[in-house]
Amino acid sequence: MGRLAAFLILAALSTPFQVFAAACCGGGIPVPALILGDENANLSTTLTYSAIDSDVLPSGVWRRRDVTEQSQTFRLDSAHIVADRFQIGGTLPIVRRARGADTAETGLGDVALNGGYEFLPEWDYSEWRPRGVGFLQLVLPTGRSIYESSSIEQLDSRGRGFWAVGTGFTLTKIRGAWDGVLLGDVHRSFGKEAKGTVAGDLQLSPGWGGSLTAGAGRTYRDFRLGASLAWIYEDATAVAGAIESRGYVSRYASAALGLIYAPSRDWSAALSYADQTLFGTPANTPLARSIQVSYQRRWAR
Amino acid sequence: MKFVLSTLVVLSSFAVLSQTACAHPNYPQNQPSGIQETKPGTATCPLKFDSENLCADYVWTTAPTEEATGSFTLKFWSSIDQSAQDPKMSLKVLTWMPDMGHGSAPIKLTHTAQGEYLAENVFFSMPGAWQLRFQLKNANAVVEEQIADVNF
Repeated sequence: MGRLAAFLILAALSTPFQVFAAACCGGGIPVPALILGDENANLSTTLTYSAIDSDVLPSGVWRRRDVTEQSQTFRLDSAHIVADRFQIGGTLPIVRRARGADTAETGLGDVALNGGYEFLPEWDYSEWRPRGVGFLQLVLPTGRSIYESSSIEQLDSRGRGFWAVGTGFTLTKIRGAWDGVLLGDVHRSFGKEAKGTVAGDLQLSPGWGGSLTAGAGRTYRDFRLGASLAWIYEDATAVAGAIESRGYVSRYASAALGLIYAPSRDWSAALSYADQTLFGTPANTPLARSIQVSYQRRWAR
Repeated sequence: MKFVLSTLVVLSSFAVLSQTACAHPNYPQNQPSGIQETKPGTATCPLKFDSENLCADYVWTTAPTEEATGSFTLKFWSSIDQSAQDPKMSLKVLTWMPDMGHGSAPIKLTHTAQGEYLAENVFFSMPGAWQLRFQLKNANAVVEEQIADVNF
């Protein structure tokens, strides 16, 4: 049961903790939809509620918000094995952003597509060797960016608004009832011309970004209690044209604590709490706290 | 029992990590409320537009908050004889957050008298360092710009 449960847990881990709100203003690059277990396909639905607690200025000064800004994200993730060690996946987020009691906007966030390759398969047991999956990711600018926002409070900004490509890896290892996961990614966002903005026509030049997530957990029967810590970095977005602006890098760390229930090979459910105010030296970013519930359905090979 | 012990191990690891890598929130002790701003010119000519020999200044009529838009009156006068004058070029005022690289909602300008405008719909969408940019434009080209720094 232990090994089966562990594989179920790894499958459940393929919907990692995701926090909305940083970096400004439509969220970061989505975590890719991957199969980390032994199934043929999976489909996850995730509902995340986030509230911005503070803003951190480039100088490192923290400022509390007087008015609560919240978001609810409904996310569909799916991944499918297409060949022995190859997989494809996609992420579709619907985002609702609200400020105070009265104002809210809902719409599509940034859609992401990814392909994965299991570069370290677990065909035989190893005391130390992890299972490794590498991935390539394409992020589509389907969520309106803050530059194209037309609402006063800019709540209709639900994405970064740039095409982006990324690559990364996940390493997972199970030792008895314990497991560990490491996820890293590097991505490059591509510049674009934003016409007719509030400031006029602008040439926007974003840069590189990346994240590193480390997590560990303990399985007991059908439950796994785990924690993870993610460090996220985004280059500044330089602006030229009607306004010249160099921008400033954005960084923050997100800690998460989660409980996963995986009673069978077919499905699992998870409840997690994530907090961006606890770790690291954040800069130039809003910081949020969030609660997330998710359900994942799996189909065996 | 094993589960309880393991849970304690996970939670204590989390606690140890929080002590070694935890954030150090730096909330200012005496954060002044409201808007602090720095205008680029002198007391007698806070916003100086050399291209038209004009000075300008603005005064908040309603300061913006995190919840509501604000408004200010903007007055232009000749830097030579101090008479109220309208700029000959078209005038645009916008908010800009330089560290984040974005602006906020469009500001509505209404000409209320000779050399006087009412700017409405002024909103800062998040706390931080903002700019109020006053631009004199010829068609789409910015000919001259004065920038006031606003700490919101």
